[in-house]
Amino acid sequence: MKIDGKFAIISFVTILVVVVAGLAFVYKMTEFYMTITDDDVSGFGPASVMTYLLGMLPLLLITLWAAISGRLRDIEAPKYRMLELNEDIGNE
Amino acid sequence: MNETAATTAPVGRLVNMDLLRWHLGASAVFLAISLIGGLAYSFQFHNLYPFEGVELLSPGRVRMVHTNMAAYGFIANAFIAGMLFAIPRLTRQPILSDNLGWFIFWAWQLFMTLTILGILGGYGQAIEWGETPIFVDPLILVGLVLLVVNLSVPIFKSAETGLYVSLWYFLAAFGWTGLVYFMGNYLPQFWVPGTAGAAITGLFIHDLVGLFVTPIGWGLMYFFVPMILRKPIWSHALSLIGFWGIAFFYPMQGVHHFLFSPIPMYAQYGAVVATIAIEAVVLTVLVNFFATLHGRGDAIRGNLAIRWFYTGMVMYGLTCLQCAFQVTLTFQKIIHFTDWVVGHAHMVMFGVFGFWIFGFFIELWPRAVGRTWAHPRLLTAHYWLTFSGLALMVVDLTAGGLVQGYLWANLAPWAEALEASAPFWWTRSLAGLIIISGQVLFLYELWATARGPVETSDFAAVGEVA
Repeated sequence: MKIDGKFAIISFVTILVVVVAGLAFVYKMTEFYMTITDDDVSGFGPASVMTYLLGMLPLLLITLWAAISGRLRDIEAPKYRMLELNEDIGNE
Repeated sequence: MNETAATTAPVGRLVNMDLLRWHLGASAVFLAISLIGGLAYSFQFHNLYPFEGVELLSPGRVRMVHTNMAAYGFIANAFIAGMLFAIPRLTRQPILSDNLGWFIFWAWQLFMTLTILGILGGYGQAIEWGETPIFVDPLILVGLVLLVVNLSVPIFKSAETGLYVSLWYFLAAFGWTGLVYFMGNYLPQFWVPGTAGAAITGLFIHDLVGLFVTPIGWGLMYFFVPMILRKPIWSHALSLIGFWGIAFFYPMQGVHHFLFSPIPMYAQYGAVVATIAIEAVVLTVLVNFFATLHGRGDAIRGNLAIRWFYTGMVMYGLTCLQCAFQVTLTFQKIIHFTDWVVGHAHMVMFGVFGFWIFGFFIELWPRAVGRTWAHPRLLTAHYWLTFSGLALMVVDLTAGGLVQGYLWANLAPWAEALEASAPFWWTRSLAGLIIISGQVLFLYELWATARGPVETSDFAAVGEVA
């Protein structure tokens, strides 16, 4: 069975991002949250966690909007379309 | 001012080239101010400070002007110019309002002027990278909101069925920048003082790099590199994985700036582990851009913009690798408070984002003034002087930081550490002079090109070099 090299690289890096960076992030935010429950450095935990949630929510909504409106249907199409747009608009 | 590009070029219908040109010009002016400040400050370390005894120009204040003008004057203006070019071309929609764009331009330059005057007048806020005086902060926040409105409307109005990765990055930066600026400049000052406030300033310092400069920088790179190479990015899917990685996993790393501090150790460990793990996200962009370059390596030699971009990318890889090590407690025991950190900051802000901005200039300035570059060889000289100057500075400060750190760790007398540092500080000033000599050529070339006699409508190869 022939393995597509590009697919393998993308899959490997994606798993790396989700598993390594994702789990580490969850660990960090749990530790930050513990500063709230343990009442350590009063104010730090609520401020940092709330700021994250406030910043993350719009991005989550935009991601949902993109998915629902079909903007993620053909995930590779935009990279060709941006070049077409540049050609159409011209070099100036 | 040449009006040709804005009025006759087809893209003039979409992109306001006058506004773009003025933002680029302002960026160049603030670059000069920042560099002069940095050089003057470095001479303080040789007891040769040029403004000795002048309180308004005391070294501590001039250093703050150096850093703030680099971030908010040089980088922010250039990024706005880049987005003014990229967003309409990706969405086929003009920005919401040209008049609002001009208002934002003049307001932003006024805020920068007030920041300089406020800092020199002794009103700098005691927050690293947030020294903008407290009375300027609300103005900057309003300016950011207006900028976001002006630039995000075309994205949401676009009839394009797909959303290119650059636009994802811009939207993330639009959401995060104001929030991070508010958090860093207001919470420690008014609501969360003391140790907790210090921890929040740590978050602010790092989020400013990770959630303002990095998303816009990468967003512009994802636009300019394929445009110049005339080749699509290797994998759009991978670019989106990287985007979501940075958007959701990057925030709140900055506690690693305060290791060994009164912040609970478990929170410090959390920040250290997450910082090392985020290198997986860094890998996505590096793999993607170098895979895109595969088969077109000649562009590094032949196109100056591409050379700037990929030099900056190598610096990005190095600085992220350095970051993964220096956030560990083992490294921090030695390098904390040393010149290593200064070298790291220069590699990130100038070696990565500054270099990318020079690439944007190479592509955009000829379009903005409707002329081809007057003396391309000066641009090549600018590249080599800037690159060699920065490389010397980073190597010098990194080595100097290690010497300082080990002397302190071994409880050497303070005077001995100072004497050992002196050669490194002289080398740093020399490196600064090399960088500045490059920028003198660059600024002259910008001026000469804008005033040059040759007008052209062919910008297909503005970055080509001999």
